[in-house]
Amino acid sequence: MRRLLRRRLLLLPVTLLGVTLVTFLAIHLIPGDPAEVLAGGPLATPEAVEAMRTRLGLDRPLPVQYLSYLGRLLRGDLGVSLFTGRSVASEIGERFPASLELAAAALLLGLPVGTALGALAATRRDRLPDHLARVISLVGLSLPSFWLALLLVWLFAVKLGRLPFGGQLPPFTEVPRRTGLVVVDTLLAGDPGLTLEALRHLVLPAVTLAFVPIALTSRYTRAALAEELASPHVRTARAFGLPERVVVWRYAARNAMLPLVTLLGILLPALLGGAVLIEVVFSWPGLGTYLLLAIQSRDYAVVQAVTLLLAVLYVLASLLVDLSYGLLDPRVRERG
Amino acid sequence: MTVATTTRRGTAWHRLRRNRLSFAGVLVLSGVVITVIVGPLLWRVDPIAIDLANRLAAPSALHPLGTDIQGRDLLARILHGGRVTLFVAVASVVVALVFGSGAGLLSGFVRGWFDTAVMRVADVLLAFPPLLLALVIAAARGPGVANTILAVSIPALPRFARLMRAQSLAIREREYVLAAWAVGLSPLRILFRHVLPNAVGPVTVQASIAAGIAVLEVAGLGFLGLGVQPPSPELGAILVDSQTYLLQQPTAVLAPGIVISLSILGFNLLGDALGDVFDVGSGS
Amino acid sequence: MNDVVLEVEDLVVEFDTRPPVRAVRGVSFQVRRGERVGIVGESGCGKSVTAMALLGLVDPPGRIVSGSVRVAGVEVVGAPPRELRRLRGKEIAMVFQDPTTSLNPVFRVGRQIADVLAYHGWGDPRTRAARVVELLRRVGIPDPERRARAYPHELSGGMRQRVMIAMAIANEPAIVVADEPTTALDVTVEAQILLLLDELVERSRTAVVFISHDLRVVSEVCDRVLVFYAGRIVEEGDLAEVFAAPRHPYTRALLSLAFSGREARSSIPGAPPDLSRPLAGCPFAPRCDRRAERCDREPPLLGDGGHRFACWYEEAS
Repeated sequence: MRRLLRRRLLLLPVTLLGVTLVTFLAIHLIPGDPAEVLAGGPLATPEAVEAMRTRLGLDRPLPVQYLSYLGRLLRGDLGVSLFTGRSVASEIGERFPASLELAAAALLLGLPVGTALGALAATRRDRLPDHLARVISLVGLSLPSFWLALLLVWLFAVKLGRLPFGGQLPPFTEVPRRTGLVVVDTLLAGDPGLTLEALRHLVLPAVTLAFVPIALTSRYTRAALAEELASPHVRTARAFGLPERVVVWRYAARNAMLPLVTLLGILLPALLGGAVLIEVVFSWPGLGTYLLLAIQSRDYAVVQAVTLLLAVLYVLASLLVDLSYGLLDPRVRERG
Repeated sequence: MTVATTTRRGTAWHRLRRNRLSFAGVLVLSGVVITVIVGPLLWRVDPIAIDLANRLAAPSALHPLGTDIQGRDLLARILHGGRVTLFVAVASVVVALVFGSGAGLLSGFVRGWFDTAVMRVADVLLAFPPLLLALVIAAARGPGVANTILAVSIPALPRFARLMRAQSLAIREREYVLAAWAVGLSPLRILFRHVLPNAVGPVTVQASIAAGIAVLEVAGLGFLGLGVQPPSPELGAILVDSQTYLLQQPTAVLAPGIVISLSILGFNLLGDALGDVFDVGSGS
Repeated sequence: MNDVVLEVEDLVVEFDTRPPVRAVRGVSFQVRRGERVGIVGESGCGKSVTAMALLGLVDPPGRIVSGSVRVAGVEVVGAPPRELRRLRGKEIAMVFQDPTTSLNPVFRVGRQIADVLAYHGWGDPRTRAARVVELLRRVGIPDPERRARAYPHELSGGMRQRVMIAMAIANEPAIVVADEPTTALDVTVEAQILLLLDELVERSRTAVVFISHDLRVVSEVCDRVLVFYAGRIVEEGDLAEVFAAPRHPYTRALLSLAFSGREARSSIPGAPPDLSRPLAGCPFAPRCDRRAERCDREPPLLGDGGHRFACWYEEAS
């Protein structure tokens, strides 16, 4: 295990370098010339386009451009938005908390619900709760999130009129920005009414985004717990008269938690990818909508930066998951 | 002894139940596939013929699902759209399967620097959340059928490559393959005779799972306006269009979503079923 | 009869499979305080199922169809879960075959023993910790303070089995059931573990039900032996008596195999009967070299007395 981890750590820079290469190249394949776009579109004079190209450094050979891209990245410079003219890093800083809030809410909702569902299924094998959990998990994995979002909006916002359509707060309301997490900021501002509003806005997108975590978590929990409950050491615990709740929730659950940690690694890409679509449906001002807007307006610096950021986050998170797996399992922890 | 008997009976009963569910999945999937292939032949209404006089018509004998905001027949649009979505999804899986498995097979067989290179590329591709990668590629290449196939197939490549590499690594160490080497059988013969037949099972399972994901991504790209472009109908694109008149014509949102969901459900169940058939441990 | 700690009467266990398998077919025996009883037989003869039934631990699809198991005077069959829980680990404890998988891999061994004490209301955390160390010392684990903090994977197979035994004797139960406790261990370790079991019984007057397919192992630790075949007891008696003068042809066959000195693991020709079917005559008849016509028609009954056996041939002679 330790060897495996060392290998992973050594490969990390290689992977990250590959990631930058992909984001760099992808952008250079974008149809349409950013220089032309910036110089004023199809009507721009060739001279103006050429001047813009020089200004952006697009006239230099690709390897040189890549190296200077890397150099800028190392200095923490993510570039400047071609449209707003502001630093991409600070724009990302503004958008990131919204995405984080949504993902956190989805996980806070999805993990407990999924775990409970899976545990219920595992302790009542082949009975109604088990079948129900299986169906929920299958459906959760099969419904496209953006469609689910539309259905939920239709039901709760339109038909029942109970919840807002989108956004983070009611129109024309604002909250002093401290953490960027709206729910937290409203609390800090001492405005419980507004906190409630923020939560009401959060419900539908979070529930939609939570479907996949619920489905995956319940599947994994069921499989892992069922396996543990059938294991010899659980039989031992029972044979020694430990109460059933202790057998299930301490002896079996502790072991079943281990694969759940790897599950987090599987959930992250689903959350990061799924969030783009859901943010769009709910006009959620996070990285997803930011990315999509940038794609539509060919703001390549932004596309590059957001993609890179999400990929790097994902790589680091997977590594963290692997590390924590090693920490949780004494067998792995102490093996050379 | 107690335990052994329990498990044996457990799996048999479990398998029976699973198989029934898997059977349902196969049924659902073939239902969807047959519908989108045969449907347009039977329901010969032009899916892109605009009829502004009949905008948002309620479902009727003439338009069983009603019409959209431009008066186009929704049934025809969904039949054709389903065809496009499924075709693009399946095509991208085929592309990923061919190139991914090919690279994996070679890298397991040749090893050395080629293996290292392929695996590093796979690592890099796996470093992106799949949908995000598809999104960026689609954005870079622009919309359209071919580009969507490309965008959806690339994130699926590394899984096939890793799977196939593992297969060929495992099999090349087996005795009968070593024996085949020893008697001087050509590598190509060994490949076709020994490696490929053994890999069919796991690759098919992976393909089925990948197909479900591909449908999701194709529709997702269409929904974001980065996939197959109008007027060619595609389920995701139909959805993004029809969400604006959700209230007036709910079938325009419901029907495409149901077709997408059923296809994904079908592929997922098929993957489970194949996993059982080939005895491949599938995630769960 | 006051010192009878385990009383099994006409125990029948069936597995609701398709077809249903009747694994234990009317077994009766008694175990007295401090007695060491061996149960021997081929795999599938119902000995392990019987062992699990003693703790009321027959998992579905298996179930106890009829009969009675009384542990320290308390009826196990049909007992409510709370009652069973109070018995298990307190009055009757079990040592399983494979100590590697039978201990929980993510808890320290000391904690696992302490839990067995705690959930039967033994002492407080501090006295329990002391007791754990004492128990580990008693089962011959060197440096018990340190070993109590070890995880199972950090111990050798023999050490793990010692931990299992420490767990089993933690609450000083009336009976310890050991199901093939040395089968997963190598021969030298096996000898040590057998010696340990022997000492513990001598000291504490705990009864041991020792289950094994290996007659040699049984001969080293037991006072009395029960020979199982096809879900029934076919012979029972004092170890010395049964070994010196086995009456049932099956016992004879087992003995000659075990002590023939051949290293090769040969077995008795033929296979045990299909337990999903009713048995008309003697279950061993098809494999028996003294089979008579009567053997196929009527099942022989287990006689009475100190040395019992179920065979028509012996009856007649």
